[in-house]
Amino acid sequence: MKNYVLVFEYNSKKFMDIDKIIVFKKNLKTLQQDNKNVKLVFFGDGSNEDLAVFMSYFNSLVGEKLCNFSISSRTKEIVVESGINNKSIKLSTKNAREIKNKNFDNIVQEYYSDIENIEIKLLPTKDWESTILDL
Amino acid sequence: MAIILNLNELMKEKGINVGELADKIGISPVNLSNIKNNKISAIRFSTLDAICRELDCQPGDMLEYQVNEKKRIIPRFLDYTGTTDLLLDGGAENVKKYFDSTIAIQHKTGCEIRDIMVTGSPLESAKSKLGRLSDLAENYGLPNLYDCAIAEYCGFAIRKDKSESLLSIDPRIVENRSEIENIIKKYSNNGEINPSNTSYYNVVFEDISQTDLARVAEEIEKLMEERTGDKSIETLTCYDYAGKECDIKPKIHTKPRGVLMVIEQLRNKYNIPLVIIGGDSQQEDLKMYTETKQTLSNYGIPSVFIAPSNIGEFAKFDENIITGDWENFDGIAHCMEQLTSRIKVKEDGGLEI
Repeated sequence: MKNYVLVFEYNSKKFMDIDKIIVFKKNLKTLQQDNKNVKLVFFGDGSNEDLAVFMSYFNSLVGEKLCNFSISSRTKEIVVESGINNKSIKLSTKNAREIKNKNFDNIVQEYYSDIENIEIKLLPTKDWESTILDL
Repeated sequence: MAIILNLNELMKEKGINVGELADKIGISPVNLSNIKNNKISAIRFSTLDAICRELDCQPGDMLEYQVNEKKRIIPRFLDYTGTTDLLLDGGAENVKKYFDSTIAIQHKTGCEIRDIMVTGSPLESAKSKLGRLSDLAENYGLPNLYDCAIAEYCGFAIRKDKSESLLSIDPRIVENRSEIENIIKKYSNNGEINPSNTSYYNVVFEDISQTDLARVAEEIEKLMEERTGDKSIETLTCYDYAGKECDIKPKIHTKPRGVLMVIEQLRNKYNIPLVIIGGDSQQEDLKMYTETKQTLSNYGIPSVFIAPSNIGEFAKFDENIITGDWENFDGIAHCMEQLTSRIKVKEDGGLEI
């Protein structure tokens, strides 16, 4: 099993798209059949509430809890998705500096410390529903 | 009714831009742009004269009288948890089905549907939900579907541009807000109320004891009784076992009040031939329908209740209650499909079920 954490810039307008999500679900199934496990992380300029609702909706629409946390560059907090009780964790100074340079390795490794062989990829939002097939 | 200026078309025909024409007729480009975009309520004869001279046309080529009919919309007031939350849990295909049924009803009736989410969420959360739902609908070609929401316990109507207006709260609570806040602050662990979780005393506490939470409710109720002489302004508390997420809010029934106040605002701007109300609670959501039905009827607006889940015996008492297949997530889409087949468009454009 190969584990990927895909990092996307938060863009509600681009991701809240029913047709694209349906294509993404199909592509995701293909990946899973190839023994590839995918998690998503979103980062960007949103409030904690915006990110929490976005994650919750995205997971519901996809039908899988693919996104467990997001990173708000506005509040410099990690927003953890856990149903209606979303929690936030302040980023360390080091991690806050790293997200400025779009380096998410530390944060992702810390969060998914129990998963081995993680490959972290920062992907463009353009054609996000299909780019996962390039993994 | 309105007088429309067709200057834009004439300028295109003559191949002249705003800057050039403004220069030739001696007015500012901003003023000419306002004329071109019909943002004016009057025009000088001298300006009209100059435009006709430069564009080689008659005033009649430019001026048009239009009968200005109000846009027809069908507001659909939906309890968030009982409809939208359930809808999203059913996945993208389920939402697609719902949007398709919405489009079908729009085609059949010639009206635009407006979903008005009625949610108990704190204000900021309600705004975020409205924003994400609006993105979903816009991307599907339904740009106005999610334009407004009611944050019921907060007493606010919110718009997708994040503006808000005080709506459905008991005015007696508004009058005593500062003192209610003082009581809450006394028990809040950091001494402050987090604005994102706060409205008219809809507060989420962290790390409060069950006893203290009960005291907050008791003190608010006592205050309200002293001020109003009314014992019925109760406070609702919800305590989780870990004591991490407790909330307290007014136990007043704001949904019917919210529906009617939004309808009042919408009627000024739109023609409303039907109101749809939906939810899963026999108590609160059905009341949204039963308590507003007569008023809507007095306005000549028929109303219908859609219940995507089981509301039991209540469904039998009213023929305008439509129930869905409540064991499946697609209950709301199922209701809308039934409604589409039952709606009849009358000769005068009115709708009947």
